[in-house]
Amino acid sequence: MSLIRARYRAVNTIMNLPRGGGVVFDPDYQAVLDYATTQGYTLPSPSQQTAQNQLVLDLKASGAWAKMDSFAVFATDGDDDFALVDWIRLAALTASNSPTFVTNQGYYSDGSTSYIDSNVAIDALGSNYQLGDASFGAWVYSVSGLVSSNAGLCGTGSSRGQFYSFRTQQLININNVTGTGANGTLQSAGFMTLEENGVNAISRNNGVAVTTLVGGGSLLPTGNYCILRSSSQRWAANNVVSCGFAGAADVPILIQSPFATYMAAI
Amino acid sequence: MKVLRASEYQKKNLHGQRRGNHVIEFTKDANGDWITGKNVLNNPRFEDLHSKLVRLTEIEYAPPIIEEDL
Repeated sequence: MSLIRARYRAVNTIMNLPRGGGVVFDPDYQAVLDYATTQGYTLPSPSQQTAQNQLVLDLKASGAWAKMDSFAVFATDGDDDFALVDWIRLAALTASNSPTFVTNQGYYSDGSTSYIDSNVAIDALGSNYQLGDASFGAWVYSVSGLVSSNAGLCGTGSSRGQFYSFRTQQLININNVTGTGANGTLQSAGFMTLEENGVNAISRNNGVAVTTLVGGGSLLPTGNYCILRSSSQRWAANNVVSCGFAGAADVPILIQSPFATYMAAI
Repeated sequence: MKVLRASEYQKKNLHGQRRGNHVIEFTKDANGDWITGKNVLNNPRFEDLHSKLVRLTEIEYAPPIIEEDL
């Protein structure tokens, strides 16, 4: 547990103040609210706080929470700063070149320069993302209007963490497992994820494998972990992304149901 | 798609300007020009920089090519 999270949990315990109409939230979600309050951000509505608390509970039950190094929920009725809070690290992501925020949907890029930056190298976000056990991904709100392109959904600001998911041949690079793959333009809205498990690199759409490359990771990526960006390429303009994560290899499976439930609830 | 091009002098003055969780960060397009998106003009957090931002040159976006390691 980080020192920051420990501090917020301690404060919460001492104050013992329930939120959201008398509901006592999970300490880790309460820590998110407390962090955002301290920073002066506008919190989500009480009903959405309840939904987000349930999301944390569901992520813990599935095992995803403990295996993520970074997790940000952009789909919120809190303000655009609350949407940038990394729930795992209790730190704010940076909105570079003013990506556009849409309440209850998330952020989208202008397709040329704007994106969201964790400000941290992907393997330095925490202890879960490693060679042979790594993943990152994002929830795409809608695929309407998406076209096959070199748009980068998420990954790192430099090499070996690249994900061009919505092309007639996907382009993949995770931990130096690199290559082209299956047709990604047939994917549905929802999670588009990439994992490296020591044997394969697998891209998934809502948990279902789209492309599988043979080979285990050999080199960690360089550059900060980013969303709406993969290396020099930004995600397609006007296509909203509702969350982003990085963590261990099995997170793409573990996170699927909890976040889909959350998106259906808001 | 239109973007905003900065001279080296403008880039030096505006690159890295941060307001809270928002930052201006120029990137190179396919022609080697320093560019940022037009959204920075409408972001109220950068209102104090508006007089400098409106002096950037509007150009057509030239997408960079994907890097060699793919």
